[in-house]
Amino acid sequence: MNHLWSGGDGEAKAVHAAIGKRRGISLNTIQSTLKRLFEKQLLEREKVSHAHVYRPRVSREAFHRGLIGELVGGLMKGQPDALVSAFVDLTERAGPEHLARLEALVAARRMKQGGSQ
Amino acid sequence: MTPWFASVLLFAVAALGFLALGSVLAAILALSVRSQLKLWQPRSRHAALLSIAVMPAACSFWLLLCASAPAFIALLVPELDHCALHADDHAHLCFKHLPQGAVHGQVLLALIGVASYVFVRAAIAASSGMRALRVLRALSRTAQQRSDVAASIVDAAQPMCFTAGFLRPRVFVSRGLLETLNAAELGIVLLHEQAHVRRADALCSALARACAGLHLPRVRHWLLRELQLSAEQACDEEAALAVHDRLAVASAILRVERIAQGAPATHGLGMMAVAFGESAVEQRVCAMLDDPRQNSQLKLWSALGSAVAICGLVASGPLHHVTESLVSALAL
Repeated sequence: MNHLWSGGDGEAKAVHAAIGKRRGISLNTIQSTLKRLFEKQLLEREKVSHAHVYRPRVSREAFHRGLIGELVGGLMKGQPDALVSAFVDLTERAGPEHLARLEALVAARRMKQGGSQ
Repeated sequence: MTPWFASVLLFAVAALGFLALGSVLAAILALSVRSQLKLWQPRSRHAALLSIAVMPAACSFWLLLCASAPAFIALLVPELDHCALHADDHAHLCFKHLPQGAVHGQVLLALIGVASYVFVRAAIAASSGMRALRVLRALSRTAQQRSDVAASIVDAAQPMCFTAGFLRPRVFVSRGLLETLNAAELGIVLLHEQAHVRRADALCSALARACAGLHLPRVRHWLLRELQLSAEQACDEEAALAVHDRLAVASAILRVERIAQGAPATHGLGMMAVAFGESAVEQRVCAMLDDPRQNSQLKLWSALGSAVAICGLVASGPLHHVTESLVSALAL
């Protein structure tokens, strides 16, 4: 997917030349992987001459959005902290008034700190 | 019902009884220390909460081991067979003198019910966890790397930064957050997440969640929330220590929360809720505005816990007999 998202040639032989040889993966494996990704509707393909040329059907952003949504919302039943520790909670937001009050509190403390130095 | 099967059932009844005792003891402990724990430094508080979380399971395992100690000793040294010492009017928790009678049908049904429930819950959790790990692997493989950012970059406009994974956790930061934060703020966010990696918080959280099912519902809810909060606060403390500026950490938390509030809801993250009460953000910011807490009685707790465990082992004889009497009265 990374190869195709970065605009690489989508023919199986080209994918094999770009990443398969380097990783020691056979052409057959590349072909079956591309087919599987096509069946999962992550790729689309068109037949050019005798070979299929694959293109991403979903963007990297849509793919990542789906994965994160699945991870946070579906798989962990809205309680993702069993696997994911987020900097701010992914499923709970502080109220706007609370947030404004806290920002004012931090700003006041910063000013006080600046004044005392 | 073969004597060996009846013996296994008796041990299972004893284990369940100890589990219930552990849950009640954990609830009493949680109730009596919850206000005191708030004064502890987050790292110690997290360790204490984790020990309360595993308490029913640990209590059940240890008490069963202590209650079975005479049986193990009799197996190793036949001369020390304890069964001859007491009246033979109840079943023996013993590997040599197997029960002759059958276990009550209701008890057997209850045990089958409990075992089935635990098996189904464990299977669902395992399948969900495996799928989550597969999703995470896909995210890791397709995330981009940049030499100037010590994290994998997720191509998402939604501002988020998180650490994920049990054994080899990784830090992920979204493109949306990278584009919005300045270098100092991003540095604090990444320091916080790297603290999660060092502390293996996801693994601890998974362990706590697995054990939380053994607690009473109200204790479970309190425990999981406090565990999450104390882990976040411990990482805030580590970030503050690294940058020598607690206010900067408080500002970074508020900045990311503010950005997250302004961001459009993402598909799949539709579960976002607004906490109108005291949210985790509020408590973390207030903790950063206060001086760092030094108070911790974790060593005292560890010493007390060890003393109680040793007492259980010393009193294994009486514990064994009491357990035998109760199990016999209940199950035979």
